[in-house]
Amino acid sequence: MAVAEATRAAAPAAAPPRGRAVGALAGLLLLAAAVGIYTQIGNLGLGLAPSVALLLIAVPVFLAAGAAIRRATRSDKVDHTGYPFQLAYPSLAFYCAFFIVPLGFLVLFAVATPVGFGGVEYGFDLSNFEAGLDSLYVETFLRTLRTAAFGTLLIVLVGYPLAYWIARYAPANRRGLFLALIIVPFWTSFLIRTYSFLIVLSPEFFLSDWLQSLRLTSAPLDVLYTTTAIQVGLVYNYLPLFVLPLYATLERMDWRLVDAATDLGASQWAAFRQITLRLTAPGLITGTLLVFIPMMGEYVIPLVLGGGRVDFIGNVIQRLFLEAQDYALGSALALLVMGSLSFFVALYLYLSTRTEQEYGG
Amino acid sequence: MAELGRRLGAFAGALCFVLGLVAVVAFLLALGSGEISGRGLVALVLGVAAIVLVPRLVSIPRLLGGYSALVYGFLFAPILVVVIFAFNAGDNVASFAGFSTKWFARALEDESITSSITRSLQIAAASAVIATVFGTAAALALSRVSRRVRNPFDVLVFLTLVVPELVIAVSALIFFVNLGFELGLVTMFIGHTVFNASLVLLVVRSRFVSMGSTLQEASMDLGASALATFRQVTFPRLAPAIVAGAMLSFTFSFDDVVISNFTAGAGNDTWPLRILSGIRFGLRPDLNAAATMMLAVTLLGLGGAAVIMRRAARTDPGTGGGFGLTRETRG
Repeated sequence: MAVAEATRAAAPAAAPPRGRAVGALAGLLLLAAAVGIYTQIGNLGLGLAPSVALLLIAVPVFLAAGAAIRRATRSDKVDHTGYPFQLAYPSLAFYCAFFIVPLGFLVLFAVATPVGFGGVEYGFDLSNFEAGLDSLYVETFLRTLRTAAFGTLLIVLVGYPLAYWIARYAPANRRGLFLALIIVPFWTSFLIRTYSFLIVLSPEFFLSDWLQSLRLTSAPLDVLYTTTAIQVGLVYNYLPLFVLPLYATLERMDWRLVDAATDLGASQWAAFRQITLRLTAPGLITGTLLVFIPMMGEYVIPLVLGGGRVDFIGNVIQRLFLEAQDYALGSALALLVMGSLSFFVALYLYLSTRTEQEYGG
Repeated sequence: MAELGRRLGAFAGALCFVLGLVAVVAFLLALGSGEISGRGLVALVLGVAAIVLVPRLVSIPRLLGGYSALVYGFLFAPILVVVIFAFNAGDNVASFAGFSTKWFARALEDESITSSITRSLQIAAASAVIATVFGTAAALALSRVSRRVRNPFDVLVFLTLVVPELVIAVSALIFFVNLGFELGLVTMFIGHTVFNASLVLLVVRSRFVSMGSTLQEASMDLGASALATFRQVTFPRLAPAIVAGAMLSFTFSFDDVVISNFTAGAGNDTWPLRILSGIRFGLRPDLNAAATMMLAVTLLGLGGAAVIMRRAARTDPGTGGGFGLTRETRG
């Protein structure tokens, strides 16, 4: 909401000064009205359905009003050749009402003072962040970071050769089949796939006996409810998410470049490092981010395979909300995690624009 | 026969190579913690031998093929285990105690399983429909606007995709509780649809941008209204992307744990939440049986759809954008 209004109000930049001032003033008034409606919606005593309807209707109405103001201040030059922008209003309204505003609530709660069980008193109190930077939470966060980073590395090592093989060596008429086989596991519930590792890794399962009779381990398999089990679960569940975007770039590779390099005397390894790896860097970066970010927020896999004995930062946040009902501290922790992840997102944006400039996409 | 032998050889080679790598890494880790045993040294020698010899004995493409077979095995083994243990006669999920189909009957009788699957289907269907409509409309609208309008919108969409799901779920919980919404199917549906709309938007827009605007401009120039152009030219060519977006949305919503867990409220377990409570409070093979049945239904449905689509493509190669265009030019 706030974002949408801000862009509306800031838009009439090319208008004559007086029109611009009037437009900005009207925009601010609209913004105030919108904020007023949003904060009061809970107190109106409406049921669920009317509230949702009001939330959804409010945004397009305000946007239409904003557009009318812009047109009135004559700074609007709409491109009429395509589809009308009004088509974007439903999703814009949806994003504002159920994404931006909730995030606003999260910030509001992160700086509020917790009162009693599950209640808060609004204010500006940074003690939640102080509590969130407690060494216990920092340690959990670092373990999450370590496990997710190592998991991402494993996924790259396991997934790259697979995508490479499908793109370069798999029979061309079966490539679709091999890709589909990567997606098929997604059709079984994610939790079912995760919990099957509870069976596979359990000391009662035959894998444990096999490993023992092959003398690979001396005692019954004891990885369940450890970081190792979580690591296996993470790699298993996120592998397809890495392989698919990587395949999309490998598929566009011109393999003649590699042949040319080896013909000119480069070793296979040098040709791979200097040509294939660089040309597939965009897909590699996208895939890495696509698995790393969700892994950092993961709490279901640690819950199932860690059995409550190994915590990720997500488990801490989940318990703060659903069990301890400490919304204020939970919000602060969630914001801290999001803030630290935004560093990686920024790094990704930097790297991807750079590789795009260097290699033309 | 020789081909089969060669493939098996490649598979064995890849297996040896991976095991060799594991042995070397394990030795290095043991070296770090100062525990070197005679068996570890033997493993190291064998591992190094495998790493050095295998790439010389087997060609790289074959080795990669064998390796891929290994990875596919890794991807499918857990699902196979779930399916096999659905036929377990015993109560214990980790040890197989004879063949039985009793859990299938139990799963169908268990009201908590069937009603949770129904709830998941309802939410996923509603979310897929709404997300597809919203996302497609936004993708069309954003294709021709100036950068000043499009960039903030793109940032918004990007945010809905990169903000961790947990953060979205948590903020949705705070939001709904504070606005006095009753947690339930509607709140879960809303939570899923935020992400799904972005998913559809991205899929549809990439197709819309790549298909160019020449055919649409031709249609408009020849006098078709914007609506007629959309119906007869744009929509048929966009349809694969729209269907893909809808299917992705449905899958995401049906399988979602995080947002559902926070916005479900009491007594509204979806299928993933039902599994989660099963994992927490004691597992029985009836969940395996239910999952096996659902997998079978999905595979049959998708297989059937693939067969029908292939047959349709064979009998009528002119389906798609071209048909609508020819009719329009004649009229």
